[in-house]
Amino acid sequence: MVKELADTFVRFVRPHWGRLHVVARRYVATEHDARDLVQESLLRAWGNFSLTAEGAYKRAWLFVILRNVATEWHRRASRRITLIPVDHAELTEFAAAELSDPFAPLPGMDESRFREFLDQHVADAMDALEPHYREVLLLSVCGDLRYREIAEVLDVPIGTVMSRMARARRCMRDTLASKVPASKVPESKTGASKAGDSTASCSKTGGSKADPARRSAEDRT
Amino acid sequence: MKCGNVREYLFAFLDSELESALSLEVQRHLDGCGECAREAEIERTVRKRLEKALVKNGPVAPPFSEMLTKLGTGQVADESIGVGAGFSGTVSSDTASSGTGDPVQRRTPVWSRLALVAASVVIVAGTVRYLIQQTQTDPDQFVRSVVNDYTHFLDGGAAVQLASADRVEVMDWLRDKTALSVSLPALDDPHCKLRGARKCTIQGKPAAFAVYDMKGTPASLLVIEGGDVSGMREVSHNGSTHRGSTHWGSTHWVAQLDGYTVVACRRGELVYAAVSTFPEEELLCLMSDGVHESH
Repeated sequence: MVKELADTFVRFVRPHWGRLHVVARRYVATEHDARDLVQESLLRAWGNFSLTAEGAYKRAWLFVILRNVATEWHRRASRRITLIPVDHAELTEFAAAELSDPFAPLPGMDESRFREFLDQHVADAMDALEPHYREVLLLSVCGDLRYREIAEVLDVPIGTVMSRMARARRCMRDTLASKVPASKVPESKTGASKAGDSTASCSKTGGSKADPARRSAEDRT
Repeated sequence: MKCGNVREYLFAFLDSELESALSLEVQRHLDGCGECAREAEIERTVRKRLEKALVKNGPVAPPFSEMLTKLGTGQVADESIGVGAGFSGTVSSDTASSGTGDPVQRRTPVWSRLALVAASVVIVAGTVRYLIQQTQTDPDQFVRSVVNDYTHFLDGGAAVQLASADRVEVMDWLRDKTALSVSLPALDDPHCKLRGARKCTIQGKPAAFAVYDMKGTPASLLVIEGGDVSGMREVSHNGSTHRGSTHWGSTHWVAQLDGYTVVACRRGELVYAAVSTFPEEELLCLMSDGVHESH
């Protein structure tokens, strides 16, 4: 019976093993810590896993545990908390008009140069986001979770997830646009971009020119 | 739909999180607006490169066996948990307090074990009954299953999992998700466009589900291994062509159910079944290899 339970648990966890580590790595400063985080999360999941309720478990449950363990760990270790629970009501302040505005313009480059540009800057652009914006993107891109699942993990309505996701990616777009030398930015055909206005409200440093080195140092203190 | 509205929905659309009717509206706008289509392509590329940077080029998880060693027989020693700096070993005391013993037995009272046994009996009995039912197949069940899938995902408004008009991208995605050698028709008909795909399950088997927009009406193309077409009407056409394109094989099958038409054909081990409210003649375009000749 114990072996059957263990086999069932292993079958449930195995497909998500890699993604849990990728997400965990973004919650903590080192790869070693990320492995500890996943290990503790799965120990906790194992402790709460029962055969009768197996069908009710979804992968979002594992990410809920991972997030809870990460939050406790940071709090216990007196580290700067990088996961800040935010009341979903804060999103009512964002007018729908902002999400329908034109995107910050990016220069016309050929495909390979554009990919190189993104490879250089896209991870830092995500790390520069406010934690509650960064987290929805993290769970989607790294955790491969659907919006509904992200809503479960964060315990917010799915509409909040959609708004944060749109906000996060628009902010990333603004940050990427700010990486381009001013002389190479084309005029937008659809009117002036509001990159300067919107960036201040979604990046941690309050501006589009976040210093990745400084941010990384803060994360490690 | 205006450009501003598309921007609001764009990320949900790219993430395949929009319900199908709205997704189709967004796709129609992108088909006709170069500016928005360019933005969509940029954002699609941004997400792909982000995933590459964080996931593909990201941390490598340790071997899965490492976790099994620690969990496997329930023998978990304090020192094997490997706690990180600043974390004073306050892992759940259930697993940390003793280095030996079975954590399940330590935590599971007798009544719970009896419940597990009872549940196992129910599960086994249910499985046996299900397997018996599977051997007594209803010849119309395949048609009913594909029509139910169509109505559930398209009429019911459930979103496609991949929104794309790129035939190669959709085929690659379906092959990856279903492990089926899916091949989609190369269409050149402006009234029949690929919209996306999802993975689904038909009669317990993984199936590929491609969504098309035919003159504003959705049509689906299901691909499944070994579908039972015996309950459908067989039509032989001896290699004839449909509007200039060649059919797969010399036979196809047709059925009507609840106002929906199902047209199916075989390609190797796979059965392709197109479903829509259109008549048989219209759906045959999804059963072809080559390019339409437009009328």
